[in-house]
Amino acid sequence: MILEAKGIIKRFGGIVALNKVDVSVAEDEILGIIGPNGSGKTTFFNVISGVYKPDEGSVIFMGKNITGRPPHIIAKMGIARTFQVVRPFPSMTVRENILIGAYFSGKHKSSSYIDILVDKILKLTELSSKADLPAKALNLPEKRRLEIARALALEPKLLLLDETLAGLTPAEIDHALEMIKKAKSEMGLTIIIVEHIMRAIMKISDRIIVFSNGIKIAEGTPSQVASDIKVIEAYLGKPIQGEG
Amino acid sequence: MINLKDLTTLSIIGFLVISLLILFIGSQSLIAFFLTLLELLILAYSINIITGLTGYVDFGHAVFYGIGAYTTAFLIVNINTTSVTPYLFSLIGGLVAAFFALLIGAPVLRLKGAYFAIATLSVSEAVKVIVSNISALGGSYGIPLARYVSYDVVSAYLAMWLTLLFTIVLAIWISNSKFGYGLRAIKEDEIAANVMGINTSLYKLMAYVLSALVAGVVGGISGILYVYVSTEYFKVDISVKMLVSMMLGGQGTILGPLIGAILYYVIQYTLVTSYPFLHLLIFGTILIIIVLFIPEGLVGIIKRRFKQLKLR
Repeated sequence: MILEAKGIIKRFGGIVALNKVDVSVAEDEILGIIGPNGSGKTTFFNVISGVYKPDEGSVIFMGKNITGRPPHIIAKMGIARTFQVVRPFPSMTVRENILIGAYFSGKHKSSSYIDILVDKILKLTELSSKADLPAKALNLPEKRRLEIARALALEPKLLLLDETLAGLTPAEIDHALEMIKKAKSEMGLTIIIVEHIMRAIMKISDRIIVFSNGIKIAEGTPSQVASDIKVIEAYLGKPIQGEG
Repeated sequence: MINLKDLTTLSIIGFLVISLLILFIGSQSLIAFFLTLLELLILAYSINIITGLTGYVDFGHAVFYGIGAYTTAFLIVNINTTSVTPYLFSLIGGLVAAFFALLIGAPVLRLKGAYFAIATLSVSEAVKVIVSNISALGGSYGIPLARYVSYDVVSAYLAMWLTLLFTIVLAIWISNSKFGYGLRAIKEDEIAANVMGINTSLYKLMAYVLSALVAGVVGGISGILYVYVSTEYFKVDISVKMLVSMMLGGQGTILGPLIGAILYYVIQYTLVTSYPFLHLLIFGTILIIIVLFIPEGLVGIIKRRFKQLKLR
């Protein structure tokens, strides 16, 4: 297991955003996480990447306990993430945005290595022609690609993708999925992907976990999960019980 | 064709050369005139490190100017020596200011936006009140230095010029370094910067300490120059003066503080004799206009102009 989160509890005041959540990810896997709005998916990412400290539970990454470590340490250890609401550095150019990841990944690298890495990522995410534009000049699909590009520049072992497909057209989604698969094989990534678009997540995930109200309610292959009664209830509600 | 980078280099070198020449060919009054400009310039560069680069608006930066001044004065009074130049004490003043920045910054830099601005303002006012109650520091009367050092514009000018040189070198180094890159990322989006591997707390603190160091040295030199140190050195006007000069020119740039401070100084100088407070009204208005319409300051306008020229 590359990542093992055990018994994660995260409370915000009286609200329990994550309630004893166990998630483990095997190396080279694509794990999909789905669930209705407010079910704790993004909170889970924030706990893994160190933005939030969990109230209880532990996160073990590659055999090391990273629970409650600050984000920059976790990033250097090999976990990179994207944000649901895109947040590239707006007035920096696309290339500079990617360079940040390469500079601060904590790996000693020569400038020629960094140049090659950045060019490779630009090509992979199809941003080469936009490299010298400020990030704020990009359109939404491009900004989403830049989020991924910037995370890839950290050369992570584990990549957390938080709704990277939201707002894209079906054709763009298929294209983005291809890009993610390509990045995975070229850079040797394990991926956790949070997504609302069922068609996409069913297609790309090896395994899927379903959250509802901060609890993990189902886990399995895409087809197992899709036919799980608890999952259907979480999304569509319970059928009305007739009196007979 | 000339670009912004060349313009910056030319202006900086030009100003450094001219300001050094004035020391040799200028009259006493011209030197004194430029000396105050140099002081404002360094302070604008100083606040640029924390506010211009990281976006944390420091309304109490004068606290470090004051701490530097008081440290220097205290040392001059208590270490009775004629063998070293008193300006060496201003370096210690800078170090003490930097140390206080470490203490103040660790908690205060956890705040963001308006909360940070208010906290820095409060800290600066609090230190002012504390200092005015310490009798070893002369209480509300301050520390007169006329018995220990004499009014010497030329030496002060040289000390100030060297400090300016150091500050500009520091600014250029930061802007080309990994450190400066990290600070820019923090300004643009702190959480994203943190997740991208940047130790944001450490970087902010380092920026705060460096800016305090510079402000402290300037405070020390000014204390020696005016042979008198008082709680006036902590006044919020001084913090605002630094902020406005920097923002007027263009925050986070190397050219910005230079243009801004010169412009501020010229406007203030022309108005101060006939209308002693009119410049405050004008700068208040200018500040609002800058914040609302040209957040990048004058350098931003120049930059846009260059872009238009290129397109033609």
